Amino acid sequence: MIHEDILRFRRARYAWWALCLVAMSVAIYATQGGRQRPGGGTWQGYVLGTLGALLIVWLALLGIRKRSYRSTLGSVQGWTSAHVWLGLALVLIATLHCAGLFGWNVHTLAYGLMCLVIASGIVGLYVYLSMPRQLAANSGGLSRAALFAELFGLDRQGRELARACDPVVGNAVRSSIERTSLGGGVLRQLLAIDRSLFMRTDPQQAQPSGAALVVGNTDQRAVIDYVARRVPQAAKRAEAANLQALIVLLSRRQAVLRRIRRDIQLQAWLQLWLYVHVPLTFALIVALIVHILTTFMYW
Amino acid sequence: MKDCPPNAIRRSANGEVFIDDTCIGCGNCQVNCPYGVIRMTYEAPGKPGLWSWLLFGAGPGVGEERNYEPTAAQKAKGKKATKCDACGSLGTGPACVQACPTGAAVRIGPDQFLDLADQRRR
Repeated sequence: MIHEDILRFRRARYAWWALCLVAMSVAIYATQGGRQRPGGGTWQGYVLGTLGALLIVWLALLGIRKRSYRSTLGSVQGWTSAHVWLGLALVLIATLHCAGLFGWNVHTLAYGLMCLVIASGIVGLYVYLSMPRQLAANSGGLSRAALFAELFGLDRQGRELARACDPVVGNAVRSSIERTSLGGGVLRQLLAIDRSLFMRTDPQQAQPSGAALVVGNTDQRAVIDYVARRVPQAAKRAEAANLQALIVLLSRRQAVLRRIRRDIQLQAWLQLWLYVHVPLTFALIVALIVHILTTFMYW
Repeated sequence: MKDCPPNAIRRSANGEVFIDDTCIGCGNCQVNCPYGVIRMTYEAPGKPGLWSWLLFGAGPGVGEERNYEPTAAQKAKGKKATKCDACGSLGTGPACVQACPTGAAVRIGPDQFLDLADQRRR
């Protein structure tokens, strides 16, 4: 096996490290009792708290290590593997540190932020492990620029074919090319929402003004159906052949658009989680400093 | 390689083709490269330290700066041939492999490459 995923890096070495750390923390927690109830204030609580704080600082250092390209301090893959496993262990260590005592205060805020950072990290882990494969399968080895080049080629052919057709069909096809929508805001990228439109003129339901109707053309289905419905009405064989060629071309265009839209969606998911994970990490570090300072201030 | 006047482009024992500092910037290698990987470029700008980049936004930072304009001194030196040499001078192997967090970038030998191609075909 040439590739080794980050969870199984070096026979899941860091999973064992995390497991040992968790077992040690549980053992320390279990020694609490007697007059003082378990919590952050016992010596065991301080030990677990110190361990958790050191872990948070070390986990955040991945951001520096991964940019230190010349560093020989382990590989970034090893660091990331340890980051994932020790980050997961941190949930339990922090919970044992506070012994489940929560309230509306800065201490619980730090805990909540930590949980959010870890949850966003789990999302990131999922997308990093699953989406690159989906990206490669979707694009078929082509770059996004190559997919766009293919699309522009089909657009050009579509315009040429549309010119040879009935003006009603020609306008519909031209407008569907011009009003194809890709990308957009964050939600539209993440959910691959398609707001494409096209202009339709129905001879049976002609508008009083004679103007064409602008209608939705999600996934290019409406324009393909529109052209397909015109085939039986074609007066000449050449016209029917043109319409058939147009349907084939629009279907090829639909397939390329699907691939581009999926590519944009997968790339957006691959990036989105970091916009949550990193700023929340900085917020967590600030909350952690306040938590530590207030703890010692009110000793 | 045959067309390089100062014999600056050579192959290392591991198979990587690299261009050393004796390049005179004639561009023969770029014209003759069958893979289109050799480019004639001005000397790259120096990178700032991580913290000065992170905190103060100094210098070009990580990656290549877009629309980078070379300085007069760099222009006076002229363009030289550049290509990926698998970071042969670093001693730690290719930096892209070192920096890849998911292990997607790997450096493999020619025999492993044939195995991989064989696996893909199956």
